Amino acid sequence: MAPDAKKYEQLSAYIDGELPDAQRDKVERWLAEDAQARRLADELRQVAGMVAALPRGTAGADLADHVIARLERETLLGESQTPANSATRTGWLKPLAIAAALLMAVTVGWLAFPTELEKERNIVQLAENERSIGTADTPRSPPPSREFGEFDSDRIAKKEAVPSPSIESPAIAARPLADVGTGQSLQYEEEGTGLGASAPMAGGIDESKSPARPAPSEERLASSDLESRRQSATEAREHQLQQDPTFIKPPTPQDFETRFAQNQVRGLEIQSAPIAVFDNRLEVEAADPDAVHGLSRMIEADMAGNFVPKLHENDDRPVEPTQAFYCGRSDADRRADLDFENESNQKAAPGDSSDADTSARIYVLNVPRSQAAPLLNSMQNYLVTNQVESQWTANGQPIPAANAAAETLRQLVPSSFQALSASQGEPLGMGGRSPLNPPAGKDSPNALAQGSTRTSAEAASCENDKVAHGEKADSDQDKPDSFREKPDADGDDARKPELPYKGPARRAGKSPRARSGDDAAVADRIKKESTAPRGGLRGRQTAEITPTAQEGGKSEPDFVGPPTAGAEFAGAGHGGVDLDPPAPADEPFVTIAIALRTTQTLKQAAPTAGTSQSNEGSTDQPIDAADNEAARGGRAQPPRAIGGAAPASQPTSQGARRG
Amino acid sequence: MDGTYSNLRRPIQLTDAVHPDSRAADPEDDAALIVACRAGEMRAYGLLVRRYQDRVFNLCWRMCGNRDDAEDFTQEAFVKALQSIDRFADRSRFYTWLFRIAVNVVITARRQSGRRRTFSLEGDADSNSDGRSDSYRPALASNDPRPEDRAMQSEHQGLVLEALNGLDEGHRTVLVLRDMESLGYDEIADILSVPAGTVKSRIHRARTALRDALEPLLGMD
Repeated sequence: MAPDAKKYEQLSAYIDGELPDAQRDKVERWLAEDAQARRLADELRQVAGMVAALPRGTAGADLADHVIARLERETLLGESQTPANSATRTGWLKPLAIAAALLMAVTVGWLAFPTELEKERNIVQLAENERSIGTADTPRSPPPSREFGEFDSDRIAKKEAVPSPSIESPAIAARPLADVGTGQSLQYEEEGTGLGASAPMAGGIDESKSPARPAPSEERLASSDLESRRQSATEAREHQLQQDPTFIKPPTPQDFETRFAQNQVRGLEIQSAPIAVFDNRLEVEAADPDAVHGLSRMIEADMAGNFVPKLHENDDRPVEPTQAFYCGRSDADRRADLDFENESNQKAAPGDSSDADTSARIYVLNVPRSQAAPLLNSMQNYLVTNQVESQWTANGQPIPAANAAAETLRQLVPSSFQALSASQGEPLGMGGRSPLNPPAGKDSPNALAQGSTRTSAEAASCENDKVAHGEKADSDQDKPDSFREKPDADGDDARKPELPYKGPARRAGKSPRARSGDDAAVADRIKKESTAPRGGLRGRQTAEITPTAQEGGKSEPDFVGPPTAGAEFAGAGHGGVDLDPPAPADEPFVTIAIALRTTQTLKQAAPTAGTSQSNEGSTDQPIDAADNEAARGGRAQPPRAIGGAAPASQPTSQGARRG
Repeated sequence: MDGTYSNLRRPIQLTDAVHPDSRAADPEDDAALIVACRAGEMRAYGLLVRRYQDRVFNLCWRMCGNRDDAEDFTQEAFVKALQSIDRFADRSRFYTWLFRIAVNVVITARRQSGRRRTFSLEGDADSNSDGRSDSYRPALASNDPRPEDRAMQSEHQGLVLEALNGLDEGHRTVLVLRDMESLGYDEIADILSVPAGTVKSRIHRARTALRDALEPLLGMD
C-alpha cells in the first residue's frame, strides 16, 4: 500500500475517533495544513453520516417466538433449515419435504415394529442388564403375568413396614399362605428392572423341568445381599418411574386412605395400587384357573346385582368414599367382564383357553360392614370348598386363627359341599339372586358359585346334621362336574361318602345349633343385630354367621365372630332375615381388596377338552387332594406341569415373610 | 457447557422488564441470561433474542438487501447462537459474538444462493419487475413533515443504499457495522476475525468508494 493510502486511512480512523492521541494530534496537524485532506475528511464524514442515516427496520414482534419454536422443533425432529434454503424456497423443496416425511414415517415404523432380530437383541440386552444387577444367579422364570406384581413380596414387605390406619378388621377366619405351606413359589424378575420378586403358588410346578435351585442355606446367606440389591434396584426403579410423566404412582396407604376419604381417589389409581395398599385384603392363589374365575364371578355377581359400579382399566372416574366398586386388571379381565355381562360364556367350556383365567385381577369393595360379613363368608366358603390357597389379612396382618377354621372346614368340605349342591333351596348369600346369577340347581352351571354363597358354617352345619342322621352321600353322577370328587392321589377311585341334604337352609334364629348351648347368646346377638336397620346392598340377606360350636367332636372356630383379637370384623353384619331396609346414612363402610390370581394358565395346561378328570387344564375341578394334603402339611407339592414355570426358593406370601 | 454456573446465584430477571435496548443493556445481564440459557431456560433466551433482534435484523438487512431474507437470516443466527451457546467465550461481549454468527450466516447463505446484490429496500413485494423498488420507505423517525423533503430524502437514501449494495461484501459489512451499528474497530475486527488494521483500511476504502458513488449528493446538505 502506498504511503499516501496509508496516510489517508488515518482520516477515516480519525473521523471515527479510533486513533490514539498521538496519531490524532498528527492528523489534526495534517488537516490544519492540507485543505485537500480537510475536504476529503469532510466528504468521508458525510458518507458515514449517510450510511448511518439509512432507515432501520424492526424485526417481527414474534421473531423470538419463532426462534424458540424453531429451536424446539429442531430439537425434537433434528431438522435444520438454513436461511439459504428459505431464500431459495422453490418448487424442488416440496418433493423433498414429501420425501422427508416418507422417510420419517418409515423410520417411525421401523422403530415401532422392530424386526425379529431387534427383538432378540433386546431380549439379550435385557438379560445382560439383569445379570449385571446381580440377580442372575437366582433361578427364575418369566413372570406368569404382569399382575403378579400385586403379589410382589417386596411391595408387600414395604407395605408392612408402613403402619397404616385401618378402616375395619374383618374377623374372617383364614390362614396365611405360609401356614398352608405351599412350599414352592415362583420367582421371577420384574421386566427391565432387575428387581427380583417371587410369588407363591399353590401347585402346578414341574420340578423336573425347572433349573437347579440353590440349597436353602445358600439362599439364606445370599438373601441379605440379594435384599439390599433389590432395595437399591427398587429405589432406582422408583426414581426412574418418577421421572416418567406417564407413570401413575401408586398411592401410599396413608395417601390412599386420606384421598379416599376426600373422594379424590380415581379409578386408575385403584388400578395401579398394589394390593398391599389396602388394609383388609384377601389374596387368593389357585392352581386351577377355574377356581379363581368362579370366585371372581361370584364376587361380580354379588356386586353387579347390587348396582355396584365397575371400574375398568381406563376408567378414571373419582371413587366416592362410600362407593362399592370392583375393577378388572387387564384386557383379559375386560374381555372376561364382557363375557360375564353377556351371560353367554359365564363358564368356560372345558379346554377352552379363556384368557380371563390366566390373569390376575383385583376387586376393591367398599361395602357397608353389615354386608361385608356375608360376602366374606361366601368367599371363604368358596375358597375352602375349592381348596384354594388364600390369605386373609386385616389391618395388614394375617389372621392366624383363620387357619384352624379353614382347616376344619377343609376336612368337612367335600361331603358338605355336595350336600349343599344337592339342596334345592333358595340361593343364599350376599346380594341374593342376581340377574346374572340364575337360580341354583344341581344342573345349573352356576351351582358352584351359588352354592358357595352359603356360608361355610352352613355347609359345615349341614354336613354335621347329615352325619348325625347317618345319611349317606348321594352319588355325584347327577351333579355338575365341579362338584364331583376326584380320585385320590393314590389312585383310589373311591369317592368320599356323600350324604343327602334334606333340611332347608338354616336361617338365623331357626338353627337348632343357634338355639342350643353356648350359641344361644350368640344367637341372641345375631337376632339383636339383625333387627337393626341395615343399608347398602339389596336383596335377600340370608347368609348366617355361625358362631363357634362344638359339633361332631370337632372344633369349628368362628368365621366372622369377634374372638380373634386384632382380626375382628367389627360390627360385621349378621344377616338371617330378608330385609330391604334403607341404608342408614351413618353406616360405616369397609374397604376390602380381593386379589385373585391363578398360577396355572389354561393355555399352558394340557388340553383336556371334554373332560374334567385331569387337573391339568381342567376348568371344573378343584385342585386335587394330593395338593391339598401337601398344602396342609407344608410339604412340597408333587410336580405339576405348568408350562415350564420354575420354582423359586422363597415363599413370598405375607405370612411367610412375617414368619 | 463450560460450567459457569456460579452466575446462577445472581437472580435472573426473566421478565419483560429487562431493558429491550441492546445498546443500553448491561453486559452482566447478558451473562446472567446466557447462564440461564445454558441451563435450558428458554425464556432467558427469548429475552436475549428480543434484546438484539433489531440490531441483528438490520445488520442482515443491510448486508443482504432483502427484508424477507433478513428475517430468515436473523432467525437462523439466533438459532445457531443458542445451539452453540456453550462455545461462547465470556471474554467477549455477547452481541459481538452474535453479530459474527449473523455475518457468517448471511455470507454463507448469499454465497450458496449466488445472489450477490439486491437492490430492494423494503422487500420484494414492493419491487418492480426490474428489481428496483420505487417505494422507498424513509426512516419513520424523520421529523420532516414535508412530502417533498421526504421524497428527496427517500431518493437520497435509495442512492446511498444502491451505492452501499454496490460495494463488495467485505466493505459493505464493515461500513454497516461501523456506521450503522457504531461498533468500534476492535469489535468489528473481532466480529470479522480480521486484524484491526484491516478493518481500518476496509472502512476507509469503503467510504472512499461510497464517496465516489455518491459524489453528486455530497455537499447538498
